[in-house]
Amino acid sequence: MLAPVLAFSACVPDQTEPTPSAGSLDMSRYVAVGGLYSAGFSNGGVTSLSQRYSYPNMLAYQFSLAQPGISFVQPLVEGTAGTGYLKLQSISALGVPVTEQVPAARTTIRAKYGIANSCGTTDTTYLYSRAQGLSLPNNLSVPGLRLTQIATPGLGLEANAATGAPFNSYFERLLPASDSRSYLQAVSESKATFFTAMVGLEDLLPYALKGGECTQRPTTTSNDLIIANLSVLLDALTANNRPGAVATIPSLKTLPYFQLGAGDKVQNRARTATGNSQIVVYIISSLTNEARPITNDDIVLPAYLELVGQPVTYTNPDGTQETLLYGMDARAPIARAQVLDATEFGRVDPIIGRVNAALKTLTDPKTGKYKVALVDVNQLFINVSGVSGAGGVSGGVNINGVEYSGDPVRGNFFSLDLYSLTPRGNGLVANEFLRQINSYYRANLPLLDVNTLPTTSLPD
Amino acid sequence: MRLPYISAFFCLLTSAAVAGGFETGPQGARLLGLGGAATALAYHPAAAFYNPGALGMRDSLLRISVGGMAQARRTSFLSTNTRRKTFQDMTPVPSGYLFASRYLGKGISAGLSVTTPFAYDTSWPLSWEGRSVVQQSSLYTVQVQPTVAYAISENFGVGAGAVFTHGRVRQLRALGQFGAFNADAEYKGSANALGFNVGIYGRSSEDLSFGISYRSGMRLQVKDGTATFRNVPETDAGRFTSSNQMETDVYLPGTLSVGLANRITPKLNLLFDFTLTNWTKTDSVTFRFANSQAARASQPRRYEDAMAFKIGAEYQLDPKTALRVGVLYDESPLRDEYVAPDLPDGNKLAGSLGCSFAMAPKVNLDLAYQFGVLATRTARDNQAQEQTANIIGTYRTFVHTAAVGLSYSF
Repeated sequence: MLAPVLAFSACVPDQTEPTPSAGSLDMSRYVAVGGLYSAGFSNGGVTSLSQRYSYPNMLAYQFSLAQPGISFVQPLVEGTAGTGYLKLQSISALGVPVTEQVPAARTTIRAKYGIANSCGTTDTTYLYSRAQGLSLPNNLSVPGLRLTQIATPGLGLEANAATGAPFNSYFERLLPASDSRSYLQAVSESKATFFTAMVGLEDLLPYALKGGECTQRPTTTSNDLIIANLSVLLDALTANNRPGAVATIPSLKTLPYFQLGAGDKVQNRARTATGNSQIVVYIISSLTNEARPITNDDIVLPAYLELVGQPVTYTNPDGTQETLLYGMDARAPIARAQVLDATEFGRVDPIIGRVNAALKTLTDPKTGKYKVALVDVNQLFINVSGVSGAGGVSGGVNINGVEYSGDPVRGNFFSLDLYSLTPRGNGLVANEFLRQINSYYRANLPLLDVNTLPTTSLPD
Repeated sequence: MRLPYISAFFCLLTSAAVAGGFETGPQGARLLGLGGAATALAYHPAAAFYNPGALGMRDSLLRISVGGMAQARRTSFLSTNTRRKTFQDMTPVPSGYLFASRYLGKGISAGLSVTTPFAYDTSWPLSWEGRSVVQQSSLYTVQVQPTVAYAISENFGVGAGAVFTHGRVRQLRALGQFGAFNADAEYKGSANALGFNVGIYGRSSEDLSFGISYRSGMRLQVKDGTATFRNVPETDAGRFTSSNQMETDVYLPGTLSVGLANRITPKLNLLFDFTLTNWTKTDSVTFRFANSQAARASQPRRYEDAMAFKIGAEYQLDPKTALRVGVLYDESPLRDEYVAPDLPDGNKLAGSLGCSFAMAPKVNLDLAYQFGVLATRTARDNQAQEQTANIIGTYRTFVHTAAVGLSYSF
């Protein structure tokens, strides 16, 4: 009876799958803190599908392999369209995805006049339907979360939506109505047994995404507050020796949004298109407000790349009219709002570097203040999409036979908005977290087979 | 010792030759029983393949040996990342052999061998974790070798043969770049190649004999293979256009073998072989096609030359029955950094058993079985090399080979 079974099993080259283990970690209440990357923001918005593919949700699933039965509640948005999202129409000759905006499902729109430098247009604030459930969800990530605002009371108070006070509509929907707790308070009261955090980018990213216009410019004061509040947040998260993992944030140079329109690329494209190797591309300098030749550190925003080289009518001082090619003449420079110029870029990217350096110091295994795992998400982004600009490196990784790169749409990593991630991108981030958690906490958590994930989180 | 190892040991005892890389191992039921130690074996038509020099030794006019073989390589893979285990599908490689030799007079003998010395057929479940590295990969070859041998004296012979090889290769992988999970790429092609085989054989007495044989390497150059891309989404169809000018080549390595046979008693013959296989020229498996940049297909192999040691014994139990046992140690040509799922190879230890029964005067039934265990291999990868596909994990492989054949002499 036993002999044939033995003989058979011996003739098959078996191997034993290790039992998933979280080491000494208690994952019974895992709480994720962060901004758009942690909230499952993808293709320019949040949908219940994109939330399902947020890296914290995937992490929670892997944790449950070691500790079955743990739950991870996400504040799922309503309807399939969620907050609205981008849908692919085609890919332009420049490699930029041409998209269509799918409107949000059931939102309250409140018009609110923006601050002085918001280009004088109406700034719109949305209110999204409140998340289900009475207590705080496990995924406390909030798109647009600014470290400078974590201690601000009333950040999620509906009454603040129209007053011009600091307000975050994604945070508002996590809290019960008329709750004026600060984000920090909410985090402190979340009763987490384990946390992940990826914070700091959204103090800086909106300014860069808008080409340095229409949003508040980072100042020395706000930058110092980012660094100071990083510790304040980590203090709250690591209270009572709570274990966790904290991630670095991606440098702007790794995001396709800031790679596609790098100055040299734009200039070379202009020269190729016109067949004139002497063509110089001009932009409006944010310092002098005057036209100057583009440099490689000036970044034309993806949405405006198509405009470069289009014929525009120019009226000379003597009243005669002339047709010029947009951007290819000092008299028709690329507009300020369409370019993140070197000065504006310099206000943002070095601060990202400061945040990452601070994280490394604070979590240094020997000398750091916080005994938590550090996940170098910035390095992952560098590996995948490379770093543009002078001294840049080219990116691309091969995961089990599939290439991942910073290519829009085809690179599998970045979603259609050119900076947030696809489900596969989230999977790679989750795997990076799992690797560090495994090594720091001597856990044995299986990684994800990211190639099984969708390449986009678009609802059907 | 834990139970699985004990039973694996019995598996070894109750079973039998295998070879490194994509060699299939001993050709023929009698040779399989001997673990492939056949370079110094005379009086058998397989000498046309193993050592043309030995073909000149004669004790009869005509010899024919024909049979069928099957080899099953079973591999399990344990992924370092997902900790999940995958078993290869069972894809036995069928093969066969035909050996014939005839004495023509004046010391000259002619021989013919039809063999399948190189083959593999790797088949992973289509949805396995490494599906975008490889799902299926195979190589099948047939070699036809007319051989002439000349016995310079009663104790010394030389021989040479021309080797005609036909081979076909196939590779299937999932593209994996898209949400379309069934998009895949298949490369197929076949080619012919020509080589040669020379050998010398000598004996110092009735008891002790030696042989040296050299088989040249040859390159199968596929020129007009096909590359087929299926289920590619419309937006990317232009990047993956099927081609019927796919090019690839496979180097079938040359081997140098030295063998010794010692007839210890009239009933017991001991054989030793040492083989050096020139795998170094197997650099990579690359599928090239002009019109599609998007589907790169190159798998570096960078094989190293490898040695094999074979020991076989043949015991004549009674006039009608011969028993054989063989042991083989075969070094893998595959370096650690290139262990890949298309052919996860490892140093191999194999044991074989075989026997022959006289069914009728001059007709023997030959049976043999070999069981081989490959050393556990761990694959590493370098994700920064975005064009080099691999998956990391541990491979364990067992190889089963069985042969049945008839030999006839008069």
